[in-house]
Amino acid sequence: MSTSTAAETKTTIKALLKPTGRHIESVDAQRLDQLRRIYSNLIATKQLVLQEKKHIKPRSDATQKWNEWLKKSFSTFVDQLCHVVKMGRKSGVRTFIGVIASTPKGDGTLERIDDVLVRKLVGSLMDSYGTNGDGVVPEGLLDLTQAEFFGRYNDSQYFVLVAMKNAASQLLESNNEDEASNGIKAENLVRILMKIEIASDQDEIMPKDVKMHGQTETCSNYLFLPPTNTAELKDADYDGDDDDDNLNDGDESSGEDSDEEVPQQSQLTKQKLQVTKPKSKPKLLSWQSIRQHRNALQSATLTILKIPTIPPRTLKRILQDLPIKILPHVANPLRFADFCTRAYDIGGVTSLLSLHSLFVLMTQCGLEYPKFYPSLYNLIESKIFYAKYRSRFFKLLVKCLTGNQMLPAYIVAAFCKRLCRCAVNAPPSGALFVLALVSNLLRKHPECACLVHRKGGKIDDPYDPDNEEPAKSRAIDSCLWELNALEKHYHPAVASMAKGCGMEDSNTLYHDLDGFLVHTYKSLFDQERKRGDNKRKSKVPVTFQKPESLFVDGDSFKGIFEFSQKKIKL
Amino acid sequence: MGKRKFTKKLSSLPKGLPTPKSKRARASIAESANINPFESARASSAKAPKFHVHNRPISGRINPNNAIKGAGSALKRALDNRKAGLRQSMQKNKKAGAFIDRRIGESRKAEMTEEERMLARIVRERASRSKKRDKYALGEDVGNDTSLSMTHKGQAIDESYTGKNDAYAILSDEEDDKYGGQLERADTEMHFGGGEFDEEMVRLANSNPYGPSGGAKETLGDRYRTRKEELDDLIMRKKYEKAEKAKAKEEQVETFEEFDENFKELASLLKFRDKEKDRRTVTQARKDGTQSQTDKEMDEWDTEMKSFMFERRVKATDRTKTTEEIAKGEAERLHELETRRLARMSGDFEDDDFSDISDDEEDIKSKKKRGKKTKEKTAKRRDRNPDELDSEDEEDDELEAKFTADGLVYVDKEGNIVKKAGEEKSDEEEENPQDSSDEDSDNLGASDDDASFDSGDGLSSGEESDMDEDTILEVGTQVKGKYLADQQMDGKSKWYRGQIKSVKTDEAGNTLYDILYDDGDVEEGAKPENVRRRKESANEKKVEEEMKQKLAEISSKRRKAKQKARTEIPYIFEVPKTLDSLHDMIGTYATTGPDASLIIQRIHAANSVKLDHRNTEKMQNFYDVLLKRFIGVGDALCKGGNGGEDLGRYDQLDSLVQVLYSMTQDSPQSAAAVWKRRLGIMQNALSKRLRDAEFVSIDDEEDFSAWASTGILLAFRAIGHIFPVTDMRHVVVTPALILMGQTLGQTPIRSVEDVMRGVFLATLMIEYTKGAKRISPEAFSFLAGVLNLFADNMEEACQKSPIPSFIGASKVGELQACRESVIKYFKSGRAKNATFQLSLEKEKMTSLGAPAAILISTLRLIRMLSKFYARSLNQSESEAFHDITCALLRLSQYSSKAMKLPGVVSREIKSTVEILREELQIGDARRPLTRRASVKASELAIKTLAPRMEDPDKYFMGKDKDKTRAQAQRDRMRREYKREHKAVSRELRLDAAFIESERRKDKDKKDSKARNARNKNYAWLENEQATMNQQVAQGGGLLSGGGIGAARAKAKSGRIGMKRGGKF
Repeated sequence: MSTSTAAETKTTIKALLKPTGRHIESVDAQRLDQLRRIYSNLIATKQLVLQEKKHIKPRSDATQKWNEWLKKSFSTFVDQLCHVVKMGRKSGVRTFIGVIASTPKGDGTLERIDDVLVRKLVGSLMDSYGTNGDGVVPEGLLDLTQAEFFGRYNDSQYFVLVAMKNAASQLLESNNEDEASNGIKAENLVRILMKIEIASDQDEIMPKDVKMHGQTETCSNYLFLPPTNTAELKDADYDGDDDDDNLNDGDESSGEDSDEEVPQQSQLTKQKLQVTKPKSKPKLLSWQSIRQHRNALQSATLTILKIPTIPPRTLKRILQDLPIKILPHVANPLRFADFCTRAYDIGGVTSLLSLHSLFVLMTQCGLEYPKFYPSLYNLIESKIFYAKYRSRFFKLLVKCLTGNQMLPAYIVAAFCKRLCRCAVNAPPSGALFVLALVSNLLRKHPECACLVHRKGGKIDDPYDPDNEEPAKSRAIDSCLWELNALEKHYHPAVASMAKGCGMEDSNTLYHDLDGFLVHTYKSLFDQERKRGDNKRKSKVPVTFQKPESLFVDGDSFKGIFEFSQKKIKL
Repeated sequence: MGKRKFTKKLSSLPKGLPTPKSKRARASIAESANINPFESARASSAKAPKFHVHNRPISGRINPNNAIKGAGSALKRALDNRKAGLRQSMQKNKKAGAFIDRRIGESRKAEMTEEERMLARIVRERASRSKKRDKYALGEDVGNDTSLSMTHKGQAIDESYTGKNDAYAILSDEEDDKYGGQLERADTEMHFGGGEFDEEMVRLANSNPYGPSGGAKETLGDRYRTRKEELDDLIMRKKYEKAEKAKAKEEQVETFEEFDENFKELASLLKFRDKEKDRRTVTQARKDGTQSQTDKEMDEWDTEMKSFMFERRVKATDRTKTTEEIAKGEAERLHELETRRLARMSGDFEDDDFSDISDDEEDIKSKKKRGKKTKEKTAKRRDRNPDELDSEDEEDDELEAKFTADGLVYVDKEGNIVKKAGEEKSDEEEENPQDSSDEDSDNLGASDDDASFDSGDGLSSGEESDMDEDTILEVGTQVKGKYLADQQMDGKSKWYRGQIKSVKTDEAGNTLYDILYDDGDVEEGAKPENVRRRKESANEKKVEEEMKQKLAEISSKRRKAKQKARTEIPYIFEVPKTLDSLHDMIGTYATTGPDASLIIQRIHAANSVKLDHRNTEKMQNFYDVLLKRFIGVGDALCKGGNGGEDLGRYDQLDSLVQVLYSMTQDSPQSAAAVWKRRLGIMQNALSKRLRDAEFVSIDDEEDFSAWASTGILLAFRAIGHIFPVTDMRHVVVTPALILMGQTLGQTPIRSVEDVMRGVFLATLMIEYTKGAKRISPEAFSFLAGVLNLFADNMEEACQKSPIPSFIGASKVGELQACRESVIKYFKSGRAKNATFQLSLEKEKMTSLGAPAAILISTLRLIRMLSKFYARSLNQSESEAFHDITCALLRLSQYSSKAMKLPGVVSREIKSTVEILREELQIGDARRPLTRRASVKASELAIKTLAPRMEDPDKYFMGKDKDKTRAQAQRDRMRREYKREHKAVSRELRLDAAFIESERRKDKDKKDSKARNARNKNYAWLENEQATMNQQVAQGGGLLSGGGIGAARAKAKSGRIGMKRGGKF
């Protein structure tokens, strides 16, 4: 490391750090990439040491100074990179990832991702300027980051989660900004969160081949390959149990740990046989353990959900993914219960989505939520049959109503009655679904048969459609007269299903409700239109009376529409 | 030996039958006539006879006497049977009038000798005679068979029997009398009696207080005696009945005679009146008026009856024409009219009777004549079979007028277009009229009378050339003129007859004439040198006069006809392929809406599918074009209203519907296909509009509506006229309904116009479904939504609307103020004479009174609805009308006095509510559902858990062992059925194979004859060729031809004696 080369390097760095051609993406990208290469070279040759190590003897002044300068310029470089990322340039993200990959923390045997850099990357993704200044991070950028960074390397995913938690808590604390931008930032975070796919078990996060051929570096699951003998590393505090903050002091401790290792290196092979054997489970580094990943996910999600300025759109998105992507993976799903109950109170689609999460919590985590079925009951109304998210709702409804054999009859009856009442106004697709569901329910709950079969004389309908409590609606005392109305539906399939509803015997199979979820106006229309196409000689019935005119005397239009002066005279 | 094939051919022999492998083997079999031992083997199932039992037939035994029954296996027998029966019937098949000899043995002539046949007949005869029934036939008609009649002492007991009349006495002859029957009794006693015990028995019997028959001690003799008595009794009864019959007959004869006698007395009583006298008195009485009342009535009756006699009787009409015939007739009429019109346009008046110009009665006559003529023509055309090589070219030069895309053309026999009508011909005339005049007549068969006149004039023109040109001709003078002489080629013009209409002088002082030519042309400003007075001799003049009168009539007609033809709409149109070409057509020929309708009707009539099935594709395309036109007219209606008398868009639509209707009747399937496609397009358009609607915000000023255009709405209406709406499921109507439902349910409402369109669609859905008493939820919900628009708290009400169409409505200013505008409208006093009717015309849609009209007509519609569906929804009316009821109740609520609806409206609402309540019985007690069927007794019974034990006594081995009785029976039946089925199919298969092989045999026989003949011929030819070749090979170049290969070449070279291989 001669000074002459250092001087040359310094001039190149200085030249390159000047933001030239910032507006031309390719030129700028090239410049930054050049810088990255130089720095990685410097780090590899230990000219640039980012972390000071206490126990290492102080180097010469020149080196120290050189190092100091390099550090400063490096941070400028990182800031520039952050800016580029905020602008939404893919090249910037790529270079950033390259920088992270070439700038490990720690040295020797234990290298890990520099969490400060990850935090900066996540922060700049969050604070993105957006494509047209709206601050929404472009989807392509996230996809890239996921594909090349946190979706690919398990350790990077862990650090991203940690960084997200930090970013979210910062966002929580900084309440000086306006709500809109905060909301957008939160949304960006949520979008990153949605991209994260957490492993399902330990084997997935730490595949076998890592353990077997640790030194061969064939494994691509980690950006920095963890050492094979993690058990020996004794970085116990790094491998914190439940402590969320262990990361903050983690960097120092790991530094401490690493130099201790050096003298022990020689004894490794001996100890290995003695120590690893009794331990059934080798101790894992935090980014290697699924538990830590889960904890990180939970804390990140919870912190993000705490942000009060989350826009409803984002809220819906979280709620959509919560029961599928997050709740099965987090350590303590019940901590989300509060959030879900609050979300239910918002109303509309949000409450529906939150009900799904609540259902998962109730069935899988033992949450007690007595208001659940009344809430679900109140969500059923005519409008929902036209809503875009109806198939999701219906799926949930099917799950809640048919999955629980212990539902009391009065609740089932109330649901049946309400569904049928709505089906009278629903489109044919909805009516078909309702009829299938009600038919299934009536068979599953034979005690509800009184809805379709009741002896005795005339009765007044005791059903109260406006009562919000299914228990008080008195549906069980009523009858499903709606079926009679649906029998007269113009759609032949609805009519025939309504005729069959409640008439089934024990041999009839249950309707496959998934098949009924997919119907729409268009699908039904196409089905009817194509009917008989394949039959060659299918006859088409025609009328037998020649129309006198378009609007004949005596049709429904008479007296309601006027069509011409002539017609009025008639 | 060929390769063995395992696939069974139809013609191959059935399995199990030994086939002779080679010709030799076959020959040996035929020679020996011995039965193949394999063939004669027993059927495998038959058991070998253990003991020989005399007189018992053994299956599978050879019976050399009977060819059919004897030989070998059942299979062989079946084959022989088949040969005997099936082959015969096959030969007889398709032969009518064959005589079948059904006498015994005739059908198997080959198998029986003459004697055997005779024997068989005798046996049959005997057998029929020896029927037991003849033995006891005791009726009178047995008399012919003497052997069976009753006899007594060798004498037949019948009418000729001269015994005593006493029936009983018949039996008692003299000898019996002597012994008083004792002898017989003694005889029986002796033979069958009980000897000495008998006396005792008699005594006992006599001592029996209950009579001789009281005890069981009847002797055999007694029994015999009673039997005899019975028989005697029977005979006696028969005799008695016979006697009775004879007596009755006699009595009847007597009665008849008596009647005859009586009749003579009666006949004398009948006196015949003197009719002549009678009549005279009656007429006298009638004249004097002194008739009795009854006579008068009788007279009236008579006259009435007579009048009936003279009344025209109703004749049986012709059968109803089929649709094809009607279409054909219509198309023919149009073709005829068109041909004539085009001919007139080009001035061709040959065989034109001006039927449509002259008065009515002529019209009818000529039409009849026409019809006949065209029929003949078409018949002629039909007769000519295109495949025939027609040697007789009698109609060679007859050209056929045909209408094609180019207009009227004359087509010769091969179908080449010889000449186009119209322009070409007139060109020719104008260019060299004199030359063409003569040819015209035979060439085109046109204008022969014109031409004859002209040619005559041409000849006589010489004498008239010395006419004084200076004299000014008077008006009305008969002249000859050169028609448009200036425009003709250097004076080479022709003289036409004409009449001077007026005389004028131009600025230069030249006299000019306006001439009206006889052929209907008019020339104005003809120069005097081109006009000549027609000179007429005396008799010419006379003839001329007559002609003139006729011609004047004709010419006036012609003139009219020509004029009419030029302005008239053509009768025949080609089918337009696109909407543009249809519009072009309409643009060219039609000036008014009715004209356009007429054109469309004519297009349909002239190209109907019923005329020619090849039109299907064209017409299907045209159907689509018409649909587009329909929608186009509908849209125009929205923009511009009806468009006055001339355009008459409503009438256009009506006529379009009718044409669509009849086209649908012609070919329902293609019409349905077109509609289906069109509906698909509409559906796609709707989903596109719905997508767009999400992006166009309400505040946008631009006039965006996601609703379908008026034309499409009206097209929906047309579907209801064309296809039946009451069907449970229909390929066109059901998708249309779904599409309408989707439109109503999902299309956001943004203006009053949208509401009107929605109400229209809702009404249409109701119109579709009311016939079958079905409900359309979307329509009901929409009407409820419309009412909600007028609620006081409109925003909240709209949120409660069951369909999303109305959710955005609360943000539209125009709709927010619905209630206010109704109130304002009534306050302004404009509502006095308003009809409150909706319309689809834009002008009326956006008028001030529109909201009020919507409200009131919706209420009307709801009243109508409640009447339609009253008591037809099976007690579910209150559910179906739930939203409408809620909306109605919401309407009548108001927060402040300013928002109170005017009196008229609230009265309407009140009456609607009352009608709803009354008709639909909302809120009344109802009968509960009883959907579950009552339980069967078998279901109610407690199930038995006792195991079904097997009875060791009744143990049997079998397939049906463990089954219940019913099941076993069913299975047995199934097995039997299966077996039978198999057997029948086998039989059928074998029959088919047999028939096929027979057919081949026949064909082989036929072919072999031909083949033999051919072979013979070939042999002869080859022989000849061989001789030739030989000679060529020998001869040195003298003979040409023949030979093969080297020989040929050498022969050609001319070297003598060269033989094959270069050796001599």
